Amino acid sequence: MSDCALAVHDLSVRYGAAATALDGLTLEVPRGEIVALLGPNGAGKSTLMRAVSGLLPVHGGSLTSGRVEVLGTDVTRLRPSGRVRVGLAQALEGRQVFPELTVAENLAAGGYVRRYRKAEAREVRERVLHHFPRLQDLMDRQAGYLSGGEQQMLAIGRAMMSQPSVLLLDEPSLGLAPKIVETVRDVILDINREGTSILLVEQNAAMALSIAQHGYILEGGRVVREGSAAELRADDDIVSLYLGVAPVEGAGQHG
Amino acid sequence: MTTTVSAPPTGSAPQPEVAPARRRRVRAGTIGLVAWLLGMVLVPWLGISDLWMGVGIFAIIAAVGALGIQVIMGFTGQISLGHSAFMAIGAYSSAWLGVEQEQPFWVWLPAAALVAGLAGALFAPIAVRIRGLYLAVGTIALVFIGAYVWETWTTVSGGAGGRLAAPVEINGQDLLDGYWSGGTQVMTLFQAWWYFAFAVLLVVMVLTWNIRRSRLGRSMLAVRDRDLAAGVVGIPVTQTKTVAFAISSAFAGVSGALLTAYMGYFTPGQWSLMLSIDFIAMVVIGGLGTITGAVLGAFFFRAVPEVVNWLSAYLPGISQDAKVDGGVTAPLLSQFVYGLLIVVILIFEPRGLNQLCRKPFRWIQQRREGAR
Ligand SMILES: Nc1ncnc2c1ncn2[C@@H]1O[C@H](COP(=O)(O)OP(=O)(O)O)[C@@H](O)[C@H]1O
Ligand SMILES: [Mg+2]
Repeated sequence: MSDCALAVHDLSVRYGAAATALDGLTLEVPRGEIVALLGPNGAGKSTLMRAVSGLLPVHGGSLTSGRVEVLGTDVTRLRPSGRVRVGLAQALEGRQVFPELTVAENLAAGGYVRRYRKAEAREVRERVLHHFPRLQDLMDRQAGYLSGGEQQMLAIGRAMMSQPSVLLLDEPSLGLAPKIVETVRDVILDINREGTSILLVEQNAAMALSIAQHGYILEGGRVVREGSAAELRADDDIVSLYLGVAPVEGAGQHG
Repeated sequence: MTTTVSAPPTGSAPQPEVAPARRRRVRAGTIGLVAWLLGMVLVPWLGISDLWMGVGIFAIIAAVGALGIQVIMGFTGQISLGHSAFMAIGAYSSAWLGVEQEQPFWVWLPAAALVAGLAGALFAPIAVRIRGLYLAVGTIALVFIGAYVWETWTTVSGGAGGRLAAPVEINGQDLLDGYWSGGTQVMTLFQAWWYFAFAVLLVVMVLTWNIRRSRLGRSMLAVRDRDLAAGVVGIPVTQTKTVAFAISSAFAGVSGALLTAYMGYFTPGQWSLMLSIDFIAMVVIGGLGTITGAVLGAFFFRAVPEVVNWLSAYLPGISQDAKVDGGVTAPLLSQFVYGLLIVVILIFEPRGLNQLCRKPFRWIQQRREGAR
């Protein structure tokens, strides 16, 4: 297990008295890999993200069983800030930048748990901005006024400021123009090549499988299918079920 | 899910007018700040009447409390109607130290901040667990608990009749007698108090400015705007709210201590819910989330009713005193015009006086850029 960047074992989640949102889910992200998590709306993808990053309580959810390990450390009982310290970072669904803070301040907030000294902070920021040249010109701009694509870049950049070993991305392509989706995809690849392991949640299955090594398909809170990205891409059922519903422009991307 | 209060411009729709780079906005701000500082230093020597100097001193003292509300409400997005209770705590602890213990102001003033801040920190664990309307109601309870305590704990409060406040003594002279040197009065009570209150306001402003720019300030705004995202980047949401509560209460304590020291005498009745609401109104009118907004709002709130009152003397058909037959009196008109003015300002510029004052600057800037 400890050779995994992220390991989720037998995870079950329930929201209040409602039906179980996740049911005995087991999943692994090997070090240095991109793992895609696919599935229709309501499958439980965001719920898994919350369970991993420790945000379940804020949403009124709770774990009924299971364990989450980051780099071999059991983080199940840790608070969100503790998990960030261990090496986990997340860009939330819907971007969620801090609209009133400038781009620079948003990035600084991302480094919160690291307590960087000034020079150190600048150095880390340089390294992060290297992936997002567009943000460089927008440092003094309030984040609320950025475009959707720029906000997505900022959300990922902010997550990278804590220098995570594992990055969780919840539907980064949601609501973005095809051209921008392509840029986001390239950035994810870039970040992964520099050593960060990534769990990528997407409805755009074509985009996700074009860069992932491995994929899981979630339905009704359970893994219904798992395999290498190549296998999943080749599977006719999956192509018709998931690649079919993906936006056309996404499907054309890895051609 | 959402925080209680958030400053208006959180929409994602691009508004070119309000999206200039920070740097440029700071320049207009710097000019305004320097002008304001100069003005504040000069005001006591412009021959302004004692009445207006008094109004100004009340405004300065209110600005200190408004900065406290700005920290909890403007920066952190938590509504608090308990501000007057923390002002009272500052007032009573300073009065006890300054009168019974005969401590100088440089002991009782920081002590007022400390005691009120501690009280805020004690209350915070309850406050940070409740949100929105419930938080508002929870903080109202503080005001009523306070009222009960002050009326029953007569050894400290003097009961319903009130008590003496702590004196501000500099070189052995009570500032309420003005400032004397070699048998001549150098400054009147109003001039001396203006500078004393202004000095305290400056200290609190600089503190607030530093908080806003620090890691803590960023966390506050992050919690206000997106508490989930704040949690996910590792910002301790509860702890940030707690610290904001304590700081806000400490500023309230300073404001309460100053207010009572200036008045010389105070009663339990004055720490009402209405006083708390006044402070919220100040930051809303002035502009949520900014230091300038808190100060502008406090001056507006304290000065405008007086201005209207004064103007009404020149209007026909208005009597200066209350009349038995219930005609239009100056105080009544004052309240009416004042309320109308607030509504008009907030319709015209929902982000308050702070943005309203910047509009001419921005207009000139756009003209200049257009000419190039
Ligand atoms: N805060 C919540 N309270 C109650 N039920 C929720 C909450 N969030 C999600 N759910 C339910 O949990 C299930 C999984 O949702 P979610 O994880 O958001 O799915 P996905 O991200 O795959 O679209 C859905 O049935 C959804 O209705
Ligand atoms: Mg989702």
